[in-house]
Amino acid sequence: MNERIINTIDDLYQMLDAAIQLEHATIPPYLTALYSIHPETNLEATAVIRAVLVEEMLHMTLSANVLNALGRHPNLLSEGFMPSFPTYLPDGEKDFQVSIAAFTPETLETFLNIERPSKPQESTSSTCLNGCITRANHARFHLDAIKPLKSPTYSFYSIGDFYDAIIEGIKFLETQARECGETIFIGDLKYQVSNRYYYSGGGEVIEVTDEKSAITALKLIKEQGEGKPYPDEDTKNQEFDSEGELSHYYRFKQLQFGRYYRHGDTPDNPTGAQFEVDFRKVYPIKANPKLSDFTENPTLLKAAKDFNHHYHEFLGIINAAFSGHQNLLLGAVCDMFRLKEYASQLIRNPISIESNAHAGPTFEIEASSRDSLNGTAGRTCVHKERA
Amino acid sequence: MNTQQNQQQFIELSGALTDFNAFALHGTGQVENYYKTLNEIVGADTVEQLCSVFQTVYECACDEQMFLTGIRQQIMGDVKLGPVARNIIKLWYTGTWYQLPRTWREVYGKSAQDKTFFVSSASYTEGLLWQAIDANPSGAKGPGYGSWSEPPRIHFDNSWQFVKQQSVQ
Repeated sequence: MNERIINTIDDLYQMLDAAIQLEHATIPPYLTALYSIHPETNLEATAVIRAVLVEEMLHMTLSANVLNALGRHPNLLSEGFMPSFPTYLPDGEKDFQVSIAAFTPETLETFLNIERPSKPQESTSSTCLNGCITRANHARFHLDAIKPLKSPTYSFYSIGDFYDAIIEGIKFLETQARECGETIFIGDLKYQVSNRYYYSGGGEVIEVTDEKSAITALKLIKEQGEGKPYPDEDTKNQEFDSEGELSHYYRFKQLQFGRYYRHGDTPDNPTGAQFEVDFRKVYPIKANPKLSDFTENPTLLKAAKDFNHHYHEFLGIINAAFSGHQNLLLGAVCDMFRLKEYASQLIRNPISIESNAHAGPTFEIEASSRDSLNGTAGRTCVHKERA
Repeated sequence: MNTQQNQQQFIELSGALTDFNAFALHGTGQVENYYKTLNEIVGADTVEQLCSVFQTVYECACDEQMFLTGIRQQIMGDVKLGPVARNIIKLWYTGTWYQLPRTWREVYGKSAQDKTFFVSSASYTEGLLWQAIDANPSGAKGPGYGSWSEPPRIHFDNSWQFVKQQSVQ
């Protein structure tokens, strides 16, 4: 018999913290690939990556709502929240690297790996935790979401299995609480991010107040990512989620085919409108750029540090918004546009005259925040809470 | 001189004319577009002449004052190069190529392409004027709802810097 992963409320808090970290961790790679595309080219690829990116932001918000419903606030500023790229994610029995890189066929392959639907595990050791396997290369994973409760041995088989473990944990703990006439959903409703503050961002945000709304929120995350949970049951339309929207995996698949899916298509044969993906119309960013790559070019170095500083500040605003200051999300939209400008400037600049490689945002948040304490980073923005 | 070197000179010239450094100019993603547009309309010879005069003025200048005087006298005040240099400034700031003055066209040649036009729709949104006043280009580059209630954040981190050149004898 397989063991349940979440057995205490603290386990559940940890797993939700890990979920928020995981959803955020996809943002730097998607954002960098998106902004690496030359302006006004690859319009379809741009639209697809952008749509997935904003849904990842929605997923982060939904996970935060679940955690807040349990009476805990997320901490986006905790040490290690931002992974060091490249970072590893599981893909069934194997793993793969996720990098900050330009939009290339290899990058697209990585995106497909991130969003790949989970397959039923064929053989699971009887001593294993649910949805997990033992991996020889377990130490490679740095994201908490991969390692159930910081296990030294087991890793999740896929991201889908990670969310299944959370859902199972919620059901188990809520049933236990109910037996004593209590509930685990003791969070104040005032901490929920609602559609009043979150709009045009990948779908409707769900306010979480109880077991039912929590599971709806978590299932939405899973379905938007990988599509329907059991592809074998229905080979037609498995590309679409229960709301009839194409899942992330199949949206990216369209970019490989250069063709859109239509309802009724099988996964291997989209029959919608055709379009071109031109990988030459992309700035050749050095993969996983670091501040140390820019030491020869002080202007670039400063711009890269400034970006990290602004991104760190931005995380601080989102953190406050998830801790009762939802109004800040309205102003954060302006900050996102600014971050886009800062990142695009870096990406459009060659690292040196001789080099073909271009710069890019490094997302080295820890380093940049230390610099800002020393007063060497860029100017500090004033963020007003909007009434 | 190869294309890459020519383009480098064009960036340096553009920097001095607009007072935005190479980082900011590259950051617009328009360097190649503008360099190509300029060459197609005024001809490679004129572009090379302009860059060459700029290079000489820069190398001969002992300080920034002397450099600015040289630019004023030998480029902005020149009958042929002045209008082209002014067009480069307008190009970078607005993303628009403005038709050269009639007198210039009559003397130095009329290109069929020399009409007032946006180089591309991206060039409109990437105009340096928006950076200079910290505003968003109308109808493009969403600023975020309510951003207009914030004061503009104008800074000069990316201004062009005069650096004493080593003269090549």
